Amino acid sequence: MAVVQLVHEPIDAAALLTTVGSPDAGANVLFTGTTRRRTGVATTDWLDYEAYELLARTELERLRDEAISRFGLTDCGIIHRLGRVAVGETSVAVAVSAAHRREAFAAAEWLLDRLKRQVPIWKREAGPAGMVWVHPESATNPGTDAS
Amino acid sequence: MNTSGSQQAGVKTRPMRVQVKLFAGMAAEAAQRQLVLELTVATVAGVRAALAAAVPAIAPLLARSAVAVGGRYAADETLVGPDDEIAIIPPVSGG
Repeated sequence: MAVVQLVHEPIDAAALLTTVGSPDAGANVLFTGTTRRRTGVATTDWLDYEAYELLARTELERLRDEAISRFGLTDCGIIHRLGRVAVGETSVAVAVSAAHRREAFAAAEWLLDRLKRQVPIWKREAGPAGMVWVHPESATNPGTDAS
Repeated sequence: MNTSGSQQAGVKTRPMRVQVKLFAGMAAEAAQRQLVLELTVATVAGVRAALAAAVPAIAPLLARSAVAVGGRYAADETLVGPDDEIAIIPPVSGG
C-alpha cells in the first residue's frame, strides 16, 4: 500500500503518483495543493502548517482505508507537509489509482474534502498584515463525525 | 494508550491533575502549548470547564473545538485519567 506521511521537507508528488500505479489500475489521479498568492484581495507570502501528529496520522490512515473500500481503489497515498510552505510549493499531495477514471476522480475529491474537515492540521497565513492562524468559522467540529 | 473512557461508570469528584496540549491559534492565544489543569470533574466536559476558567481568552475558540483523548476524538462525557494524553483540536485548516 502507498504511503500516508506527514513530512517537513518538499513533497515529491510525481514519486507518490508512481507508487500507486499497478497492473490493475487503468486510472491514476494526482492532486497537489499549493500555496496560492492571492485569496480575494489578500496576499499570502507563505503558509506555516502545524499538526497534532499522533491523531493526524491516524485520521489520514483511516481516510485512506475508507477511500479504498468506498471507491474500490487499487491504491491510495497521501502526503501532507508541515512547517513553512512558500508560494507555489506543495502542501498536500493525494494520489489514487482505480480500474476506471470515475472512481479515481471521485475518490481524490472525497479525500480532500474529508482531510480539510477532520484531520488535525492547521495553517497560519503570513501576509502584509502579519501572521494569522486559520480556524474556519464554518468548520464542523471534527469530533462530531469521528464515527 | 490508557483510555479511561471505557470501564468505570462513576465520575470522580476528587481533584485530579491532567496535562492538556494546545495547538495553532489556541496555543498562540494562550501563549503556551501545554498546561496542567486541576479537574473537579474527570470528563472531557470537565477539561473544557477547567480550561475555560484557567485561560478565559481561549473560551470562544474552545467552544468551537473538539477534544482528543489518547489520540482519538472524544465526546464530552468521556472519562479522563491522569495519564491520558489530552489535546484540544480547534477548527482545522489543513490542505
